[in-house]
Amino acid sequence: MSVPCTTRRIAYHDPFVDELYEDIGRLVGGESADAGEVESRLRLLARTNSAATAAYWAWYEDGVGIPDSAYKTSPPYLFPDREPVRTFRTSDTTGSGTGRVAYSPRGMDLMDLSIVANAERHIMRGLAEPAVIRLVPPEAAAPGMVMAHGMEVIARRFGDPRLSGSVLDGSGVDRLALRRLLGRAVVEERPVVLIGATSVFVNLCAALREEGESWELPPGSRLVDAGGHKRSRQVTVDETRSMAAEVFGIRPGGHRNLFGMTELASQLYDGEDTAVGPAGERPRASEAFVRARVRSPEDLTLVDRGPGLLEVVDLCVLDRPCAVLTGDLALAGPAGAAVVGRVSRERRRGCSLALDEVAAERGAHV
Amino acid sequence: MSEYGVSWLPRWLGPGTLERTAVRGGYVGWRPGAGEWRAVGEGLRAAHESLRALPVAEIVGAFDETCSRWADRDFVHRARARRDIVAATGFSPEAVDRSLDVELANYRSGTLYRVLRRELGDPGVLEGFRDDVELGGRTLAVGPRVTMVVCSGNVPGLPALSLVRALLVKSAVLLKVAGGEPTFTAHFLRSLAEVNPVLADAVVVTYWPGDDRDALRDAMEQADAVIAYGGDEACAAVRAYLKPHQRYVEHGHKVSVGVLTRAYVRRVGLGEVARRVAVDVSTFNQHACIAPQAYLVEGGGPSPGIDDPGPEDVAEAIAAAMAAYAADCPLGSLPAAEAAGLQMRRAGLAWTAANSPGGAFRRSPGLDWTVTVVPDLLSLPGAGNRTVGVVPVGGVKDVPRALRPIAARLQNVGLGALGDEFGALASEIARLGACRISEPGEMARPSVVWRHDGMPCLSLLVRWCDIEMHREARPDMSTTFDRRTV
Repeated sequence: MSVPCTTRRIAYHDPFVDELYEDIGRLVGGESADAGEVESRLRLLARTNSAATAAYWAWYEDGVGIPDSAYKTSPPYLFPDREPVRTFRTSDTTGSGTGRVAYSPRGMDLMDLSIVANAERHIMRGLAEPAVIRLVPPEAAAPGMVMAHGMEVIARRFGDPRLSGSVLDGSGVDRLALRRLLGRAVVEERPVVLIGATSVFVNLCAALREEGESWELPPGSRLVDAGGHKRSRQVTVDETRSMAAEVFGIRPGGHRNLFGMTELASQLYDGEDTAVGPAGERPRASEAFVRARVRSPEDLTLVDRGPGLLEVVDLCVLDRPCAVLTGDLALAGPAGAAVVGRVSRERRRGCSLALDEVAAERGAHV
Repeated sequence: MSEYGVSWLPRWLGPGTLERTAVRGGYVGWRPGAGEWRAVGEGLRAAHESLRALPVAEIVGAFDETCSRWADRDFVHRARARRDIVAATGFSPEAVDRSLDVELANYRSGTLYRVLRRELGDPGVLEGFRDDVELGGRTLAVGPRVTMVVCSGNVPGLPALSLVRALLVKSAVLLKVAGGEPTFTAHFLRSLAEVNPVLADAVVVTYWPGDDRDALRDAMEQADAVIAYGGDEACAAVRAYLKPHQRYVEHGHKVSVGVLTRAYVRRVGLGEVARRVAVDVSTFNQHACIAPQAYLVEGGGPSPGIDDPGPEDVAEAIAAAMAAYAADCPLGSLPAAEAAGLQMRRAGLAWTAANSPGGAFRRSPGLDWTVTVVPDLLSLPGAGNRTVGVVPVGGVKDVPRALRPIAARLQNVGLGALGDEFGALASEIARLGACRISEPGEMARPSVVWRHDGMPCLSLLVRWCDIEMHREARPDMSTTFDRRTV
């Protein structure tokens, strides 16, 4: 293995990065590789190429994930000698603005590799060329939206192109397009994979229910929803499954929830199908290349049980520090960590106001 | 808690006409049901008649005696209050004790007479008509019959301030405690009742959920004056039900900061300055609006070091002082969700500092304190729980510019400056919007004499009646002559 001179920045085409890139690929592909050792090399890369990351680890906690808010203020990118080929925008789920996440060509490769590997394991098992119907905009229409990219990658790789497509445009779900795609899949008895944000799916179901429209999709059809618990409106897993069954005829076993963030290259899928969180949240499955863990809110130690801060270690993140403190609350347990809500930001108390809230007021009145 | 939970019911008000209500944190209280508010209002107006007969000296004396008892940390009501406040807020027992020391030291006779004289001139105007030389007649101050108080729960002991202000002007009080800390007020009133039952009989302490607008409206209908603490939303809800005849004193959202000039740090010494900042930040666990969230620190010295410390040296010293303060008086125990919020805030601060030239970050191993050096005030997210930002400014002249973004909400400034710099900065800071300036180390101990949030809070409650141009009410002109010739 190449050992870089750690006092100098590691170049994008340094043999150290070449090997790391190859090893991560092997890890994702299921070949035997030492995930701990890959993680160490990723941390060395981040520490060497980002003085800010090194200072952050020295001051706050060694090796801890960088906070999601970092991408709104000073987004890290480890290869100044290689222009990013793609920049995604984070969503403004907390009302504190959007962030930027930059990818090098290798970073994009690893992300796509991870998306495909995860989809193969968690969505597509037992399905051959299903109709992949995306409740997200086409990638070309939303180039800054990582979910649009990821779901299009899945559709391209696994879906039957004749039966697949995006049904979300600027004005919402295109019902005609949805009916057309669902109709074809039913006629051809091809299982459907409905994939998109939880909120879009829930709103669609509510509208279809109201209008009395429902489908009995072919056996094996699946619902893959992303998010669901970041917004103020919380939907339980049971409610989601009940809607999927009632409106689309998708059986409970066909439901998967995925946790993804723009800041991450990989997604975390539901693991064991056991309700853990208050809304029925399932523990997340760990993979060799991505895992969720929980840190104590008291002292940041890693905990095996109980509530804490969600930290995701994603070994497919090459361009940035590989661990992220996501800003989510998680429950640690023997089957893994379940994501149970957002960490509420400490702000106003009685007559006391936060300085950044004054800034927000000013912004609102400009 | 007692049989009435967080409520205080005067002797004339049995629980029979009230409803038991759940209060956040597993507490209970008693509140009038729909249609019962008028009867409570009538009872308070009757209690006001008894209160009006009390001389001011007796009211002041009652508070003095009550608070002298509370000055003993073993006083039974104080010990019970401490136990309950610790459970309600998670503050450490010592943090609660220090909060109560600060709050209740204010209500001793000397201080209360100072505030009465400052705001009303002659406290006797609350007893009857008094000569008013400038008027050429006589004047009388009439307090509200009933004052409604909406409390916030961020500062242990704070409800006493509104009770004192209202009762000093002989107003009965209908007080709604806050869910965040609902327990102190009933303990305080039990102790007041032991000293002067007439005063305690003029107060009803109750609770309803913040979103119960009907209860708010019904309660407000019983009041001639309203004092409200809280955020913009809570205050807006109160304002929505105000009637033209009602006096209104609002203590809404505010922010506070400190300033340290190089000359001040050199004169006072780095260690002592840091100790003062730690007191400002740590008192009330920084939950009060008067607590500084940041200190602007003048940098730019030619050779920063022990003799001329720069912002990073100041931050380092503050971190040491915060640790020393926490060793004697820990933060307490935060609920898991709040602790998680603090950790995410710390992570964001550490990242901001790591990406800022001259940035720095220090924290306690647990959650007790956090100190960071950040480039500007608006880079500081969140508030409270002993987290302070050190913001370098190039020179004294840059201080007003640095404060301008928060001017609209600026309240309390700990001004560490000397001589001409002090005078110039104090004037500029006052014009920007601040309503209190103190020395660092005194930010968390405003006196009741202070015009709280820039308002004469006692005199705002009273209605004046002047007699002028009447032969029966001419003041003693010899006094007039004397005053004019002095």
